[in-house]
Amino acid sequence: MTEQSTNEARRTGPKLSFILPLIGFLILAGFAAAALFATLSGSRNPAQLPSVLISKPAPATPVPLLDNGLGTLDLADFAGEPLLVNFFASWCAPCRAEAPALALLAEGVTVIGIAYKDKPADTSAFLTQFGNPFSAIGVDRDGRLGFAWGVYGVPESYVIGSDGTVLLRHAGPIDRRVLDEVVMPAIKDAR
Amino acid sequence: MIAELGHFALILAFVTSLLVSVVPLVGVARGNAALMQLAVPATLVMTGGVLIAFAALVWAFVTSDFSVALVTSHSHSAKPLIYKISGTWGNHEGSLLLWIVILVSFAAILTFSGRAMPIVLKTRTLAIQGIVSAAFLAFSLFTSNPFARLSPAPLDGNGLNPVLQDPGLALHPPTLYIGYVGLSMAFSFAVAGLLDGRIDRAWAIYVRPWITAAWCALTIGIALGSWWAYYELGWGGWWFWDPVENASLMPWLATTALIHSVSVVAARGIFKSWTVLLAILAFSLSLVGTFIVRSGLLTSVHSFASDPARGVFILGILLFAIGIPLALFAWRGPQLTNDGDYQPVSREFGLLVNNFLLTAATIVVLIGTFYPLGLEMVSGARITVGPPYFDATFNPIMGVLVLAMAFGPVMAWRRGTLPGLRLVASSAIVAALAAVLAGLALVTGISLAGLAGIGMIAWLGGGILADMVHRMRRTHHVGFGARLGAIQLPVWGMWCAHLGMVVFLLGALGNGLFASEAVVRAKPGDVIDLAGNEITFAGIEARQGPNYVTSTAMLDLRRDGQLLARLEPENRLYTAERQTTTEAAIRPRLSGDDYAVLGDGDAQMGYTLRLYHKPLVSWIWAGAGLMALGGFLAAIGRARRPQRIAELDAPT
Amino acid sequence: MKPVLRSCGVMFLLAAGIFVGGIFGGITTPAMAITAEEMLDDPTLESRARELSKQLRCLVCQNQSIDDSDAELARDLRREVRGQLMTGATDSEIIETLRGKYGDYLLLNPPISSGTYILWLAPLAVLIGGAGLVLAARRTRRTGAATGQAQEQSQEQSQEQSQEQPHEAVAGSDDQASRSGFGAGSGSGSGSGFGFGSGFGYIYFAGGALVLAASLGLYLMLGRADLGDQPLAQRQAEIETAAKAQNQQAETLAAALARAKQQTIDEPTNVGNWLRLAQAAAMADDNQTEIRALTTAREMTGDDVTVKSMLAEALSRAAGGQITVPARTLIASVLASSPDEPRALYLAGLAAYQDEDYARAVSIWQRLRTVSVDDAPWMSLLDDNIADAAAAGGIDIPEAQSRPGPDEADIAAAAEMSDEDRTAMIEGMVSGLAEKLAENPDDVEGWRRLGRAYEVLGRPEDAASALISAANAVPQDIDQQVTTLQMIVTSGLGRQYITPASRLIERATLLAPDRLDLLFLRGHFAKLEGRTDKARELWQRLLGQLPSDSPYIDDLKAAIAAL
Repeated sequence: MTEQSTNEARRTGPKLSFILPLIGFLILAGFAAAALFATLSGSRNPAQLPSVLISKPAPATPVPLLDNGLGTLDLADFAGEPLLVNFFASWCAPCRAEAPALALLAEGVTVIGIAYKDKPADTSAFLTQFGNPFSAIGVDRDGRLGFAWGVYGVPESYVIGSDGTVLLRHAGPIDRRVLDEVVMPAIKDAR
Repeated sequence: MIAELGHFALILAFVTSLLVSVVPLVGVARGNAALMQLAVPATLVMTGGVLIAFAALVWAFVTSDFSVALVTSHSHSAKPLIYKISGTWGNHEGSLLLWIVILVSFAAILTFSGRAMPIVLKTRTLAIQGIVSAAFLAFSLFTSNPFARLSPAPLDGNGLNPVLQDPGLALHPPTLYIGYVGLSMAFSFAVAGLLDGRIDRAWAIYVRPWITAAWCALTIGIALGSWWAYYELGWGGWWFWDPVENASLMPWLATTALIHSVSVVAARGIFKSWTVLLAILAFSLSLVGTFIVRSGLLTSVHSFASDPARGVFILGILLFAIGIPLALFAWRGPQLTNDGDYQPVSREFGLLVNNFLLTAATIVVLIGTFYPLGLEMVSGARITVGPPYFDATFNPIMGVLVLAMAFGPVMAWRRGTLPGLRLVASSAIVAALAAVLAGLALVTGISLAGLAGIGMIAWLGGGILADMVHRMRRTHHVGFGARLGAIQLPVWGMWCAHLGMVVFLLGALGNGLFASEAVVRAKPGDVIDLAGNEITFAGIEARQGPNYVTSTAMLDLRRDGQLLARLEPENRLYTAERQTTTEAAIRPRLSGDDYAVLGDGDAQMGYTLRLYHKPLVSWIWAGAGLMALGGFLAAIGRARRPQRIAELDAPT
Repeated sequence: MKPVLRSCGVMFLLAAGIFVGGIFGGITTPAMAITAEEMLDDPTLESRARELSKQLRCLVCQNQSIDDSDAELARDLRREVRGQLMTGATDSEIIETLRGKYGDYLLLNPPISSGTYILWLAPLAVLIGGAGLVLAARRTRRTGAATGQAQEQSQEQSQEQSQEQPHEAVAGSDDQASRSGFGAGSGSGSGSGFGFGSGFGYIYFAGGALVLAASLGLYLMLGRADLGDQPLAQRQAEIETAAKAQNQQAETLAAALARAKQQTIDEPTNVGNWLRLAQAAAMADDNQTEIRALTTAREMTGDDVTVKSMLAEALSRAAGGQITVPARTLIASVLASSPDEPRALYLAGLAAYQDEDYARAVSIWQRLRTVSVDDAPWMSLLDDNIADAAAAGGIDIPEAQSRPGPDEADIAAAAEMSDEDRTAMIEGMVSGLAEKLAENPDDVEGWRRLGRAYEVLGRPEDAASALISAANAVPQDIDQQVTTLQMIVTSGLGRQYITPASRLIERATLLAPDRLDLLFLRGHFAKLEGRTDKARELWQRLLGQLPSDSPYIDDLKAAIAAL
């Protein structure tokens, strides 16, 4: 380099501006890395959306009971104890996997099923085949109740506190691991 | 043994790439010409290895060798030959290999073409290209090996996603990859230049063809992808602001800026550090795109089966391939001296505005794409950043750019002349006003934004015309033909590219403002009116394709009783994959496309038909084609004057 | 686009399980985006609906608005939007209602809130900040370029030309370029020494050799040189054979199923027929028939454990491999009464595995392993599963323990099986055990087990040999000697085994000369040897020692008289 250009070099602009791209990149990479490792460790699941119902009272939309279609399912009847409300359907393949874990849960907690957009006959056949862990089953034929709860896919489960507020939403099937790591802690908190 | 030969060739290429990454740089540091010279043959061996590997993989697909795991998981014996071939890169492993093929091929081309280049720059460029190749070859071999084998081999494969069984797959990824990977050459040149501590006009002239080539390929690749989505996804949209689309748009914007700024370096020797930065960023953005597509971090319509574990490897490559050059830039960048200054009314200033706006647009897209992820990491809240955000932020920036585009070309280097500017300004304003008034008079109920768009397009068109007139006036030749002939090819290229923008905008606006649509439940015999045409639903029939069965609707398109065309949209059931696709029927015309999609239904309740008339929609892709043609013309024009480099190169 | 509600990564199946096959074989029919029925009659409302739809994200899709999406949820939301429009709600009311249900994630246009300030301000900040940076750079450039000002002036002349032809990018100011032109790099001079010197060839050779060696080494690690190409064209014969075999098998299975069905019709009271039908149905993948047949068999056998286990398996297979709750109930009831029922144990292990309770799965399966013989047909599968579960749960498995072959439970289970099943099961157990005992003849428990297995199989000679080996293995064990002798006598083999038996008797007599059952046996063998006097003497002695109310006395007297 010539003498002159070296002089110029010393005087050229705020060096900070030359570091900006690196800083910007590192911030971006940091977010990406955080998200990536959270995904890998299982703590981040892009398919899980936070529910707007958290800490709010569970919507009280009465739906008919599966048994005879005469009675009405009212969550208020179960007030005073923590509940698990599980939206399921016979056409939903992942729902098949839930019964064992829900049956285990049902030994200590009331588990309510909501048959989401399902024909009652299909629901009954489904329960016969895969097991019926529910204390009561509501029929949400047209998905109105699901809409009120903000259900965006089945299976979806909600933990309701003794006071009727929603404590947790889990989208996706409940297996033993989800039961132990997600649902049970929420129910313990509720008690 | 062809599969194993390919595997060995890939390994050989990887080992050679390590050699290319290290030895020539040692040669440069030690001043050892022999070590430096090794870069050329080693690059060729590396390229040869990768090409053999790729050919072997294609062969495995063509012959349906299901002992290769990749063939089993992504092919099927009943597939037509073309999709067996294109299926090679219709998956993560194969497309990565295609990416590498292009990466090393560019390096090989440099070994042939860069004879006049200084050996140090050339050696360093090849070495950097070798390092990038080594990283991707390692990625391929150790996490995504395309040559993994199965024994015993299954008797048939799982088939290819039917959406990918389309000519689009044969064209779109290779073109797009040439664009993405072509940027690696600009990147390698930039890093080599930073290592040299020297970026000058000659550097700009060496790197410019690579940038132009990459930009042309990127333009065509994106246009092909948009066109593919338009006819395949079945709802007639052509741009969705999807993360993967944004991932291709960002490098395109950066490269568009780069192609302009590098011309300033070539002409005036200023904007050096900025240009180097852009060259690094353009390739970095294409790497980020790769990361998005393959890591599954952001949800997208276009992603490959995603695998976060793979994402970790790519993140490593990213940190290495972007972080180190940016650090190098922070360190060496300030030492790059400019050869002068620029004035507020000058070509340089115009191009500065261009770069400023394009960069701002790039950053806006980047933020819009990654913001939801960042917010989720910080607060856990989940939001969506969709088209409305980009319409509100990106579009105004591009609008200003379009307005400025009318003025840039007419300004001269160093100090612009006012007469030219005045001519352009008046023409642009007159054209814009005329267009807006015409729009008001001709179309009822047109929106304000629509009017603004029309005005803007006319403004740019008027500006380009005025520039043409201005330049022809200023030549010393007499007669229209002679004056026209005196215009240099690169100028034609620029006009062509800028006109491409006008055409593109016309297409986007025409489709956006005047599209008409009919969604009906129809039975055979029904007639639907759409945009002055009559569409008769003639009936529905089942057809047998090579590896699928269809249910095809037959629609007769008539205007004033005259049969224009029969549209046959269909739903296909691919028997091997047991998946269905929707194939739109399109009658493309310059004036607009007639677009029909068959929905659900049966003979009793009728079928859902979705019919569109999309005025000028094909101009969107025609505009992109014109832009790429412009880049091509400019590159040819410059290639015809190579002696300039020798002049610059000669020591005083 | 598949209208999948949520594709969950639920692993229903072990990588290698008894249950093979896809779970969701269904074909998805494309529900198209908006349909005619959904649209509103009022064009104004409908166009508002379309505009609103474009603002709302289909939550379960990948970046699609509900207007574009085929998903069920998108359709519901479109209906909801239109339903609310019909009630006269304003656009913003509708957006707010939906936002209240699904949150901000639903909105493609991110609403301004504390979380999105940065997002919305970013474009402005970029423009202003960028402009600031450009200005700052120009200011420093101007001061920095002051020294170059003179040169700028001197170039004024050449500017004219570049204004003429602004596109002549490189034409002007050549001197400036040459100032910083490519000269020497940091190291050696450019473009010098391109000849192939002696060092040059050496480098090429060394580099080439190194690359080849390293590549070969890496290839040996990664490659499969042993596998040739297998293009489909060369595999026609293989494909035809496979297709033929498959057809044949399908025919055979169908025929077997039809036959089995006919048998249950002809002779519905035979349990074996129903079990055979279940087996044929299982082979032919007809779960429903299998379940029906097993249910019938269960009723007929009065809750036989094996049948119950088979039913549990059938129910699980019908559920795509998942051990369903009804199946679990059956398994639990089987294991409560017969804790070693192998099928139930296998299924219980699988259930634990599906619950991701890998430690439990491993322990159950290892128990199954200990109650099975080495070459039981399920052994390799079981070992794979144990390895899988151990890997999934990060469990260290202790070295394989020795397995003592068929035990009480196996044999009890076998006794309740149909004849063929039992035979197959025990034959399998037995041949493995026999081999093992050949190597390890001191395993007395093994010999006993083998002997009992042979008895069940109806092979008394082999049973006798096995028990003799058992007695030889523990010569000091009086009980074993006596048991063996008793077995020989009761199966009527005394004459045949007279030599080894006498050895046993000698041994036993030394140990317990006055043992009553031994006295009887000694007499019996004396009689067989033709030593009638000796026999009489022994039996008389026995007669004297037997309590007066013993039920054997009459028999013994008769035997003595017969001498």
